[in-house]
Amino acid sequence: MLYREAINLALDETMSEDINIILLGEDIANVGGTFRVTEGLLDKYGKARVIDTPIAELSIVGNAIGMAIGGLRPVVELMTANFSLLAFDQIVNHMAKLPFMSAGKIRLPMVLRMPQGVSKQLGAQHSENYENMLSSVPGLFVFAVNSPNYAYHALKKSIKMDDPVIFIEHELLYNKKEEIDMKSDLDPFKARIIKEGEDITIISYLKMLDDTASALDDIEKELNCSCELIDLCSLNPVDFKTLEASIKKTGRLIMIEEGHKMGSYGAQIISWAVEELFYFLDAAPLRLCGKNVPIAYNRKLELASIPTPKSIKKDIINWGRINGL
Amino acid sequence: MVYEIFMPQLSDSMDEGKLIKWMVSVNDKVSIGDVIAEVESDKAIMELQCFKNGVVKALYIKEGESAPVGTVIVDITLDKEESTHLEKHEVEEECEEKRTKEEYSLVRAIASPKARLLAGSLKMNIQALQDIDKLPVPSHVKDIVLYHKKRFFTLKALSLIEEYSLDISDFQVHTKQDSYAVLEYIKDKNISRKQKISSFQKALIENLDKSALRAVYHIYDYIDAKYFEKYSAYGVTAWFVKIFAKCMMDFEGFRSSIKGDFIYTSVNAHIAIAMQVNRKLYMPVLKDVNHLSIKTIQDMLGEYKTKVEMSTLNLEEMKGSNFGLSNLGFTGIHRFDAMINQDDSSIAAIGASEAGRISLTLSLDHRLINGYEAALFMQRVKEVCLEEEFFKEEVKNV
Repeated sequence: MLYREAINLALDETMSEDINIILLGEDIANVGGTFRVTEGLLDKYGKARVIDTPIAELSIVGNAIGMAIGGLRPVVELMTANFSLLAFDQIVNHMAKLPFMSAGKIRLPMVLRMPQGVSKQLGAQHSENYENMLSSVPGLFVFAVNSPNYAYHALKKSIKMDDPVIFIEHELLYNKKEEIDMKSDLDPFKARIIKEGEDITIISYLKMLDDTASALDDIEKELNCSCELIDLCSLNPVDFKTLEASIKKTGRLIMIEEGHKMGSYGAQIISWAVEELFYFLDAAPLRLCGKNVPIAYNRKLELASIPTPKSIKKDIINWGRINGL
Repeated sequence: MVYEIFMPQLSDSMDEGKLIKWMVSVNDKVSIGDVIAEVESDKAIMELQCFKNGVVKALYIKEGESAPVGTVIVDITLDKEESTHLEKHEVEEECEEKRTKEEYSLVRAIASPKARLLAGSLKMNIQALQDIDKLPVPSHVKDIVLYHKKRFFTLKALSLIEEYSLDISDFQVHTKQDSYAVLEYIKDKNISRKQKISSFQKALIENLDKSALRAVYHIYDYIDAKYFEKYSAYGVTAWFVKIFAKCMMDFEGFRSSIKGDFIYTSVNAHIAIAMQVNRKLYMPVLKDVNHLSIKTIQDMLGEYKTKVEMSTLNLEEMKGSNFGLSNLGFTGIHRFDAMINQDDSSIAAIGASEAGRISLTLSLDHRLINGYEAALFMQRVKEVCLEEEFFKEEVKNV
């Protein structure tokens, strides 16, 4: 099943179970979603539950918060994370804070889905990653979705949660294919060990995880070592337990992400590891990120500004050589 | 243990408070939530509560007197239970602190934190060793371990440590340890040898697991061995490969395999041969056997045997079969049955030749081949084995 089909199935199944679940977003009803995620849901659930909104992100999220206060369970699609900036006041000042400021009397069972990241030549304003900003807001659960299986299970659980969830997808992952394990009872807060290894812990999420996975064989061969690859899955809160076990085992940590290096999300993970696990580290941690430039439209420059399988391989091998591998 | 109650700050602007009335006197028992006094702030009179169980030991100010915020106004002797609990907690905390200090005995050096910690526990001076080029700059755990190992263990001892994946920190190393000392330790602790499953073995295990899930049945019969003996210039295995290939061409079920929703039937006969070396089983595949002469088959079997012994067989050479053959006749075993290899349709297990006949067991995938077809196939194999013309022709063609 494709990534976008997995999300669609999760929406479909939860909507059929609970009449309070409402979808809203730009072009999600008649067009079926810019990335075809909500295809077919308008016909099935009608325009009262699958709502095409005006192009006004602040009002979309604001309306959803109102719906949630009123007892509905809205699932919002923001066309891309770039446009979420327009809704940041609602997200940060209202969605994240209302449950706290009302001492828990107001619950906001709502999900904000948004794809982010560098796609193929969409230009600087459509290629941003904002997981770092969103994860820094107390009161929001932030999930980063790499695989169809995780997408299906995590979205279902997110919708059933009584707290606001930011559900981050990646534009280039919508056509990723994977079998979904319907029987599994996946915990969306738990990091997923993609591959076990002994010598290096590599943490990533979203598309960079796949780019790293494709470079792994070469890296292991070249450095004569084995890497443990972890999909972080939940960016806030972080499954530190899984990370700790892995880092204690390997003594080496690499963080790979697509966002700009300055103020990147991974800096937080590295900082935690150095603070808490200093005496378990056998090498200086490595952080591979996007460059500190707006993403270029030109394809070559676009690829030069983010990690690619080729650059990941080169950077890790160079790092390994000077760090005792 | 004594619990002190201070003059509380009851409003933002309160600096001192006036004690209006004591609600308890010395030697009174008090428990959690009891009101012990009334205190007047600059704004109002409020009650002062006790938050622990105990007995009032002393009252430090009199009714009507004032005291600055934060001064002790009552001492309460805590109940035994509560006080021992608190003391224990403090002692535990102290221990914890001591322990962490011991655990983290570090050495100063240009080395990773983990390496410094390890060197500390091994009482190794990284800096001194770096000065005389015994350790690299910066040092990592790997360097420390290697140096430690070479210094305190003989090479033989080290290979034993590797083989049994022992932790070197388990050894008291005042002098160099030899293999006898390590062996002694292994026997003493009754440690089993631990070997990692190779990727090759993993693939094999996966295949076997898959095979075990299949609907398999067996049929048994005897083959007349007289022509195998007469034309013994070529081995029994080679002859059987040739005979099975010939029969497989008449029964397409034996050239089939199931993959996903499809049954694939190949044009030619491809036969995998079981070969074992050092407890590892290999199944190299002879492709298009129906077109090969008996000599080519014999030569290729020899070639594969060498490759298996030298471990130079590649994965491609073990793929693409649709029938398997396992000959354990040379061990003298009378009869056995074999596991079907990968996606093959069936496998033939050949036993020892006894009184002019050879036992043959076919294990078959019931999804591909029914009992009737299998019986006909067996019949055909038996017939071919009795056709001297076939043997003659094959030998002549060489």
